[in-house]
Amino acid sequence: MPRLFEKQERERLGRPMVLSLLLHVGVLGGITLLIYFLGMFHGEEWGNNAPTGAIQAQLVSSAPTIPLPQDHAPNNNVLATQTPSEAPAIPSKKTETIPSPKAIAIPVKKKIRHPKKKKPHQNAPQRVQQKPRQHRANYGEQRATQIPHSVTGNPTPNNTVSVNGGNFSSRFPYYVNLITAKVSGAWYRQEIDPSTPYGSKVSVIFVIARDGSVSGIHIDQPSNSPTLNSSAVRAVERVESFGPLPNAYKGSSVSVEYTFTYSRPTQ
Amino acid sequence: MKTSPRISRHLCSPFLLVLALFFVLAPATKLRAQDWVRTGTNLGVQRIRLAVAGFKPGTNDPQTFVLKSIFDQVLYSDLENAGIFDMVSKSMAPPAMPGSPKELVLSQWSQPPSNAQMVAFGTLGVSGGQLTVQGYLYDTKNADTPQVLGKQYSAQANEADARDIAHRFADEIILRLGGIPGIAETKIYYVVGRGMHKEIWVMDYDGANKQQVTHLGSDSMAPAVSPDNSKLAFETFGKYGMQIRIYSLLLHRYLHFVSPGGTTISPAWSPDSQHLAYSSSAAGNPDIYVSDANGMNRHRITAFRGPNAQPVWNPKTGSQIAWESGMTGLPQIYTMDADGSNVSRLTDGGYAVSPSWSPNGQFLAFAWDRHYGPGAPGGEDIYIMDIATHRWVQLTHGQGVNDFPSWAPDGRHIVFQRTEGGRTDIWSMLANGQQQEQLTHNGSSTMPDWSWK
Repeated sequence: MPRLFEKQERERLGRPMVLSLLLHVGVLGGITLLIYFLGMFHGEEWGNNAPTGAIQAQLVSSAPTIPLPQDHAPNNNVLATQTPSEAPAIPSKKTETIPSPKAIAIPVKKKIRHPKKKKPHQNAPQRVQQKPRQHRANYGEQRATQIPHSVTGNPTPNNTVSVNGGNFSSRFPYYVNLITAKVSGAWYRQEIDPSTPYGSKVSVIFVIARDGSVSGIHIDQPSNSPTLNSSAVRAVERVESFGPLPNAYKGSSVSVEYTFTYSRPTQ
Repeated sequence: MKTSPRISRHLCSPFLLVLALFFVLAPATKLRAQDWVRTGTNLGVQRIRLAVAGFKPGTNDPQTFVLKSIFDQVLYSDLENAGIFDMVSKSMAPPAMPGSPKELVLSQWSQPPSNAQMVAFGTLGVSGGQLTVQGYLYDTKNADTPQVLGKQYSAQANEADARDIAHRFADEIILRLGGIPGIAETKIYYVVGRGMHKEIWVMDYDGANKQQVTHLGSDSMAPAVSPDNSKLAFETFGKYGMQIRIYSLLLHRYLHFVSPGGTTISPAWSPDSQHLAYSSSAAGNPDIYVSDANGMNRHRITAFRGPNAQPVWNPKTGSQIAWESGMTGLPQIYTMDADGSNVSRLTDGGYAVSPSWSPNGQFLAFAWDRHYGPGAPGGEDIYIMDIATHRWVQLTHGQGVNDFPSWAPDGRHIVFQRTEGGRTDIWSMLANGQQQEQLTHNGSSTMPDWSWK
């Protein structure tokens, strides 16, 4: 009979529960009323609504609990102090000596100030642009080579040697002609940016070994056009061999300075 | 002060001696390399004007005069064929026949009408069955040091050797003045059809001295001589169909080659003479294979639909192969790496076959019919293409059907076959299309291959 048993339990707990609740409510209500009334009347009894404070206690290391005799005799002077201040003394006033009316002043050499002369305003010097000379071949502005020019000019009218150091060019003009022709044949103008101005020049230096092979290719004087510079280097690189150096030539290698000029294509 | 034996032993050590030698010699080498040449593009480039004096007979042997005329003619034509000289015609040349430098009067040659810059001259004589030739090349405008070349040759007194000496002397002159070896000593291998069969023949570069190489009594075609001139690969019709065979030019016998089966054609040598590329239908579709020179270690490098044939290696690098492929219909020229990667198409249409790679690796020569089809204008001509830019130049114009170009080792000449009026012959020309010259006249010569050196 579980239902019945539950009913019996509920009936037994009901009354004490209600009584307990009422008792708690009563106690709470009593406390609340007490607090209310105490608050109403506290002003008179607890000292004029002064702000509440707290008592502070400071611990000191040496409390002068025992009155020991002093080290020095007490000074009765009221103004005296045991620890005189370190304030600086008041400077004494300087007295100016009044010159005697008979004294003669020592003459003092005075600097004579000349009035500054105004410099006339100078303008920056005007640089004169050199006009290109007419009817004259304009060669490149190349710096002078450091090599001794023992022979200058063409040794023969048909050979394209211009300048040499040593006598290679004069002795073997056909080989110089060969260098000129092979590099010129391997130079592809299609590689050059068409906007490159005509007359641009680039100088490439390389070395021809005994067997005709090429090494040490580098630009000596670049032009302003990167495509012209690279096309010049590529032209020399394309030449695998210039053929063996002349038998009569005893040197081990020949250095070549080759100037590429981007000129107007001939029609 | 006495040097201790230990230190003196160190001082005499070979290492230190070498080091000391280096420091002594290094400045000397630097000093020697001080000759400078300064030149440029704006100075003009002209062909060298070259005169060839008739060689002076050295002896009174009757054979001397016969061989002298052959020698003079071959030397002149070799220098003319080189394509780098402005030859002084024989009518313009002075009648003098200097045999030695002492007999040469430079002004005689440098002045009009010959205006020669260079003159080749010398002596030729036969004595006791021996042909002796002394040849010189002099710079006529350089009075101080005129000699450019001085050579002496000796051989048996016969026509072939006289021609050979003339070729060698011409090649020396071309090397000196042109900077690269001449081709006068090179050979051209080609196919001659006689009756029902085709055999491989060889001739000098100028068409002289023709000789038969193979005697198989079959159809032997597509000769390819190895870069070291030791072996000849070709295709021949045998028991198992078209197969590749190798003939040793040194041993004069056939070498073993493992053919893959199927139709195997168009062999091509790698630049190191160690590998062969060819086309084979062993796996069904005709594809490009690469193997060792004896046919071993074979592997296929193309797998494209349609026929793939006529491979050719890049002779400069050996790392690329060009070939013709019908993967898109009509045959076109393609390039790829030697392992089959990086395939690139070069021709954009028409009918393009027979690629040949230039010795410097820069150009491809090939036969191209740009407007292929019935009634289309133009015909099959020889073209060269700059591989880097794909720009092409047409070399032959409307003269017959041209095919099978092959570069000369100097990179300045091309040999090819031309069919005109039902006759096919071998022609050569400069790589700019000039100086076209017919080398064979039998009407059935095809598939030329220029030797590598």
